[in-house]
Amino acid sequence: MNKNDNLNDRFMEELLREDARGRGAEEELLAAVEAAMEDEEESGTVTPLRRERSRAAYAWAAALTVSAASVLGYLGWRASEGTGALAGAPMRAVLEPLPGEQGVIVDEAGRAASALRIAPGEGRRSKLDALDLHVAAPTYADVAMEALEAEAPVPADGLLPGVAPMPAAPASPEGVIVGGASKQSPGKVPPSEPAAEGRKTDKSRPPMLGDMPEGLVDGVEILPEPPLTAGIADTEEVRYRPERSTAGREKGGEAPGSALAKNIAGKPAAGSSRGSNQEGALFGRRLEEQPGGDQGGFGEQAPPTDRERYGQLVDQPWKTPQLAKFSTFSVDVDTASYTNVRRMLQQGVAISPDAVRIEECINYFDYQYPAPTKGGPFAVLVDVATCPWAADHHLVKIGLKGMEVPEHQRPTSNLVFLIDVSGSMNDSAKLPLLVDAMKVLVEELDERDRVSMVVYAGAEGVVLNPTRITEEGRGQLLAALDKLRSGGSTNGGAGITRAYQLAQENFVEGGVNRVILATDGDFNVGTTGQGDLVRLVKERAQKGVFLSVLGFGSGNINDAMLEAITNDGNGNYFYIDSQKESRKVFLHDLSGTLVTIAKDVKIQVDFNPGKVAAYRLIGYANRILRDEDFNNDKIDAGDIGAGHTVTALYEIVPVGVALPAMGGVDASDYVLPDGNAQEALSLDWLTVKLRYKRPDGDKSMLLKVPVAEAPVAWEEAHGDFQFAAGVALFGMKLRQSEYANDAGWDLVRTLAKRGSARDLHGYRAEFLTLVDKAAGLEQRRVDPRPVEGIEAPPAE
Amino acid sequence: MQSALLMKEDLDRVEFSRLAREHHRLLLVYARSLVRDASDAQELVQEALVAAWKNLTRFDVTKDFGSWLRGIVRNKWKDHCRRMGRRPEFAEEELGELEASISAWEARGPESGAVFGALEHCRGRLPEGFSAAIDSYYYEGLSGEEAAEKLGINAGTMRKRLERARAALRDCMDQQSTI
Repeated sequence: MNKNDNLNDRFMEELLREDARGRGAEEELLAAVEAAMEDEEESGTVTPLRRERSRAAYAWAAALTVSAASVLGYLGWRASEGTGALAGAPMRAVLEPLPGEQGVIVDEAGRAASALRIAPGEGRRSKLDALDLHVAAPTYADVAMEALEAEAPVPADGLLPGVAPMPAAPASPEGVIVGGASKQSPGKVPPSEPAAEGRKTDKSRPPMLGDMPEGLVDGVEILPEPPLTAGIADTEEVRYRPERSTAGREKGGEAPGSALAKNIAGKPAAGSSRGSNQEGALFGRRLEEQPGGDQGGFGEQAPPTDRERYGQLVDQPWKTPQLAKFSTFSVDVDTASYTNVRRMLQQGVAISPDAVRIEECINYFDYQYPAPTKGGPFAVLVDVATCPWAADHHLVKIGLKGMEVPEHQRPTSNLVFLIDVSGSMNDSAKLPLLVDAMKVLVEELDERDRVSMVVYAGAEGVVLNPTRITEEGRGQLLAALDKLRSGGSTNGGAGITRAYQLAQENFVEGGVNRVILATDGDFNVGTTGQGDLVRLVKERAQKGVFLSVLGFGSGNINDAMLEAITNDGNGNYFYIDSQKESRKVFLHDLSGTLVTIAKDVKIQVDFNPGKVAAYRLIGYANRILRDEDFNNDKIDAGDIGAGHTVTALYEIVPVGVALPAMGGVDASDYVLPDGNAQEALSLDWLTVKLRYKRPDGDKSMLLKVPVAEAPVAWEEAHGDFQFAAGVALFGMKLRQSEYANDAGWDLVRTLAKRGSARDLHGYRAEFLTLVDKAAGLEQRRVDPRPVEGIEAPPAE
Repeated sequence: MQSALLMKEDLDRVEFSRLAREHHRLLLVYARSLVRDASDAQELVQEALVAAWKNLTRFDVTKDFGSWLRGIVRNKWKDHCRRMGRRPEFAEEELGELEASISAWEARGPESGAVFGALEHCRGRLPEGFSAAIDSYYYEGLSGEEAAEKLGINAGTMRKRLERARAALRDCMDQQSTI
């Protein structure tokens, strides 16, 4: 009312208003500040937290962080200009050479709480939940602190007895938190992209696309209906239970049963964080959010101190076909892990083994597999060669190549950009890069395509209604992109719902219908809850709206969450760390990114015990399916995009060669001594079985490709084989895998070099530079540890 | 003065948090009088507190902490104006004058609540008419018209009365602080 320009008077007026408001503190504001301080501490630019800080203080920080989350974004929007660069802090945590080690602790306490971020409208209940957490938070922090003080990496096992390391951790009553995974979740399925049809080769790979004779398709069976082998499946279920338990642990504590119960990035059902389970809840959450995140990781003197969250991966162990005849997994065409690892290596930060998904590293690269010729969506190509890192073993490479869709034949697309503009996106590695990536995509689109754009932060909003990409439309879209500013906290759940709604409203029959979510993953799924979100994504995928996730930034990327959404909900996941990467995803590989040619692509390998004494799947650690899921069309799996290649490698031990140590399982007394007659007769090593659905189909198709070819020496194998083997070994070494057999970086280098003769975009050459960096990083591990509490300088 | 007791090394996080809690409401009041818009003010204060935390080492422990924080808010506000393409609405002189008043009010009490305490004290000393206007408008949440109607005066008179009441309060508080 009073338009008084006198500052003194204004002050008095505001003072009166404030006084009338009561004496309550603005908790949200304080919490936001608290959260910012926490981020700041991580970056080490401020006096580190004192160790003698009271438990209450931890609890307090945890509590505040909870409510902080909802306000946090306020600070973000101008961070780039002012000094209050809240959102930038996590990024600096990576770049700064001197992060305060203790910051990790605070971060943990804070993160436990921030997993409960409050969505507008859910405030009260969530706050109650958050209060429940307080009690447990200090406990956790103390444990972590002791571990740090002992100068040892925090052992996940030690913290989480019975969760990670044990074969079949009992599910907690809630089944969500503490090692909830006594069983493989059927929901754990990969992301996706299109593709498939089968073909078999009986000898080493046909060199190039064009060389592929039609005849190769012979031997491929296409069976439209899943054969009903229920009886067998039942039997197998009993037989292979141990294997499933192993698989179930892979993502660290999954609820049995549906993916809905699953906690991707650790937002447990509210109930499970209460009562006597508090501690378990926190521990469980930690496992899910950031297993291994504060462990030494690769390059121990430079522990990853940031808030990046990775789901725990457990590599597939050696198995014998006597006990586990089948190996079943879902394809994964994602490449995010490689990009992320590349970023970390280039920055010289330590790599958490759980950040390395070997199959994503391998699949980052294009391989010259023959294209499908007979109308099927993909071709299958299998190569066998000796194993470079284990002389007596063989390496079997299964390659899928999705049908190419030339750019001019790319179907009409209906794209919805769903853009995270929350405070945490305010970072030069995030929003600007995102806008750039989107612009690259927009340049490739034309009047066939329609784009809408939804942003989400505190609230979601449509910033561009469906717009056809004519010249004018392009202008509008670019203008909308330029206007994006970050600010506000995140309610990703509401945004994603809105985005799907738009996609559905503008559905193009037979076209590309896709939501493209661009985020750092640090988002609140809101009142819907993560399970619901995954369900939504999955349901919409069944109706033909697919999801692409673009991950941005470092420091707080919630890799586990993004991976899980795309795993379970159908979709593909890219990590964009540079303009170059944007171009790979949206320029060189646009059709592959947008056009799904096959979905729910599963692979089951049937090993011949007469020829294979033991086998081991390399990578796909979080893509393992139960054997019986293979024929179950209700269980979904990864998609394959146009032209995509998918590669899986098995290391096998031929019969007659000494078995690797496998954990000492006695042979069953009841196995027939001479085994099965067919096994004895067959010369096949194995049969690759592949199931897929058309993008709009419900029924899966089956391809079978028996593999009998004699192994060639790896030095004689195709360059792609050598390169893929090199990347596999690279991944194994970064994961500190025991299976790498002490093979050195030299071998990785040799394999990669020999396989780099054809290197269209220079990706392989870049890989070679990463190998050098990784080797250098490892070298430094043996160097004396630097001054306590001070991180090692970046590699360069 | 509270902040003078602080040694630099004592200014760890817990302590800073406590100070932030203690000062934030007055800072909000201050920021709102600079920008009017409540959410802008909120942002200014958050930015300022975070900046303060980041630059703690630059805080001169012999100075008043609240005053230092307000200085940061002022700088943030100037940045804000620049970004908005506006010239700061208030001159340095005016800002300095207000700052002097606030510091004086603050200096009276053991904590920043002193300002609210002084306000309370002075509200009790307002003449009846002023006091009723202040109460009904600010404390009972009535609109200007409603408050005017309640007091049986017209809206213009109401406005005038509020203005004079605020001036009276200010005077009272200034006097208080000089005691």
